Amino acid sequence: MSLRSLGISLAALLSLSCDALMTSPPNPEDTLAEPIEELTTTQLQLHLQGDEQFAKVFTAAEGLGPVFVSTSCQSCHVGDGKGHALTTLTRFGRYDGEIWNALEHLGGPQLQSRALPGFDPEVIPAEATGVARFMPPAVSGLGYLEAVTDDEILRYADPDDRDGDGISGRVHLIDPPEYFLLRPGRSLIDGRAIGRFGFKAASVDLLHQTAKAYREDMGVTSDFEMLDVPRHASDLVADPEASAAIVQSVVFYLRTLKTPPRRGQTSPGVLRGEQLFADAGCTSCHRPSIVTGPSDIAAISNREIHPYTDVLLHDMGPELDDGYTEGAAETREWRTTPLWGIGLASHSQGGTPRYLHDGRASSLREAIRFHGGEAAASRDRFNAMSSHEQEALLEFLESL
Amino acid sequence: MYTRPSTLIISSIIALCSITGIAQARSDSTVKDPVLDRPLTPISGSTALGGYAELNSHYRSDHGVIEGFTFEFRRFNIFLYSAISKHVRFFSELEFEHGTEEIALETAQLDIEVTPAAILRGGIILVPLGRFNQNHDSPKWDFIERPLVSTEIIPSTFSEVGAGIHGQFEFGSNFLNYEVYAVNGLQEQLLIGPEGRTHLASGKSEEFFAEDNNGSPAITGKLTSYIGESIELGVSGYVGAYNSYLLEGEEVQPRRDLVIAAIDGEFHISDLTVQAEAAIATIDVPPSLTDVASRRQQGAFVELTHPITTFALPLERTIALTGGLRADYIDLNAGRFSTSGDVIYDDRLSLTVSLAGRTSASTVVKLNYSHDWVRDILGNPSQASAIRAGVASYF
Repeated sequence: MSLRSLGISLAALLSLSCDALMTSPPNPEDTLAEPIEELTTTQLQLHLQGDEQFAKVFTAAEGLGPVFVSTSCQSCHVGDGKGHALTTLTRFGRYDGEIWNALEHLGGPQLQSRALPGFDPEVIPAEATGVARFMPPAVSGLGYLEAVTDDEILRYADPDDRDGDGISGRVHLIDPPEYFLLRPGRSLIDGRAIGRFGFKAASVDLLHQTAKAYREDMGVTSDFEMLDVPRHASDLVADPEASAAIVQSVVFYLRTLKTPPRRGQTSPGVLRGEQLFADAGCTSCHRPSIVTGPSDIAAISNREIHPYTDVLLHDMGPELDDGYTEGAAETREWRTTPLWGIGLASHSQGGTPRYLHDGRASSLREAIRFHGGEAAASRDRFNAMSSHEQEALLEFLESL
Repeated sequence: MYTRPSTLIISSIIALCSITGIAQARSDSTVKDPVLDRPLTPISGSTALGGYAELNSHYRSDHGVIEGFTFEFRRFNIFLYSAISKHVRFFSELEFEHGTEEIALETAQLDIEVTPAAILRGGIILVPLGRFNQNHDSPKWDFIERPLVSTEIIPSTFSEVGAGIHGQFEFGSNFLNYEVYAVNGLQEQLLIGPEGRTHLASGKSEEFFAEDNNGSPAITGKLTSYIGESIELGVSGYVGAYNSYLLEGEEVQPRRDLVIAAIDGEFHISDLTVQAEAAIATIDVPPSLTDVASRRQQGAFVELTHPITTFALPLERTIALTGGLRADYIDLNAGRFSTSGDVIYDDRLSLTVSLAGRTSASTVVKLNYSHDWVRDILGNPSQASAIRAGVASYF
């Protein structure tokens, strides 16, 4: 073979097989980390910029710590999916009479369990009476949930169980931070806003949740949350360690993530399970359909979505009472966790799924068994099903 | 009784220095030294210049996301060598990476040769860890990317300011070389690097060319045996405190050590060349960073190259083609989670095939394809692949 023929052969091989030699993208049905398809090019560009910030790892020189839990948004929300034990948060507080005390002067409400060299990590103070662990949730589809109007959420609230179905969801009203903006569809009720993010619905919007995460999870101050965790001397990095633009960029990224994809939703087993899910009364809280309001992002504006949540607090009974709470929620009350994406949980957890707020359940069946309080009747209906029916219901959940 | 590894190494230095007095040292001063094994062009008297440049192109896909095609002007390095006197030599290497994005004085060392078995060396030196760090010039290698173990575990190019001794002993047709240096050492930024994990390269700091962060030098050394013309074997190590445990003379936190051990070799079997390096790093991690920072990192690479054929070029020139295969593996957080007992993954396996053409010993044109299998800290898998082409040449 001459050099010329070798060169021609190599060039031909490369031109024909460049893409064939490259790795294949994951099946869109199996991934959460994708933007909404209908974004404009400008929005897509902003989304990708936010993606970079979401993945950015903070070092000590960039403001990490001095005490912290994790080093980046992405390390908790791998692939935008559910978190894992390594970055599970511990939060604590105590009741002083009937008032919940977050023990901020003692480093509360969140335990920063890691520290830069030369600093001591926090320990749970003896004063704390309630401690809970929170496994980071998946973040895809959050922009849609943020776009749901207050009226839509209030439509499902029934705090006094007037309809007598045993379900009495209520909104969690939160004193909003100074930077809370009333978008269309949002309002203040006696000066407070409806919380919708976090396991206790203690964050009023994605900016609130994100700014808190920068501060409490990574020890990174921002234009929105200017002070390091107060119990500790600050690091020597000038505050804010993350600008408003960076935090807003991450918020935009979160707002423009697609809804979690369904898989096999038309299979007979899944359809049967979906019906059984409704028959058991699960949809009283895990509402299959909810409607978004107007949004500055057309792709999420006025859409019917299927998050399987009502964004309300429900009494889950002693089974899930950790003795810890936030705001005005009772310790037994939890915001209905959206079930969309639950079938992909293990994809971000190394193949070993962990369910519920602290990952205490290793299977969906076990997670159902932990449901008590308002969900006890649905749990009992599930337990009374035949094994085939239970399998069908679980198959439906795996399809979400 | 616990004996610090550094104490053992210092004892070894003393022992080696003693040996220099009793062993038959080479007399011709042609000590094998990879740092000085560079082509140089005399420019004036005893001063010579040299260097190399490296241009690459990449077409990459990471977990199915194709990043497209890009050129990269990776390095432009300049060597300056001066034989100041018969027994005193100075060598330096100034690197421009990605144009002027990063300018680094990688080497600036003065050698004073007492005998070939005892050469005093001081300045900014290339740490004698593994095979690659002191042999890192791109024109020497058929592969565009550096081995993973040589960048992630041994943070090549790993330069330190320090001083020590090196030399060579001759045993018939075999040689035994040694190097031992005290250096300022890496700093505690290595615990959490820009990828959120322990990253030894993040512990490098040019500030340390001026002053150590803890007043406690690290010790590094290597023994290399050359067995005939076809076998070269090396054993090397590095040990030292990395954290700033002393502040204003007060001990403000416990001293924490980094230990790196490596073995390396090169073998020639007929026309087949085998190069390999393995390294393990043990890091004394503070309890406050358990699981996030790595207590142990390890990795290895094996590289095979074999001549394929030689083609004639116009003007009576030829190009020699060489085929190669490299297997790389690194585990960036070996062990189990302290909380759950589950295995920590965070590892990467890479296979690369290469085709390299050399028109002379100084110039190499490279074509590589690599495929990587990656698992994050929890074991979530992903894959990456790349086609790379590049040229590197001494000048």
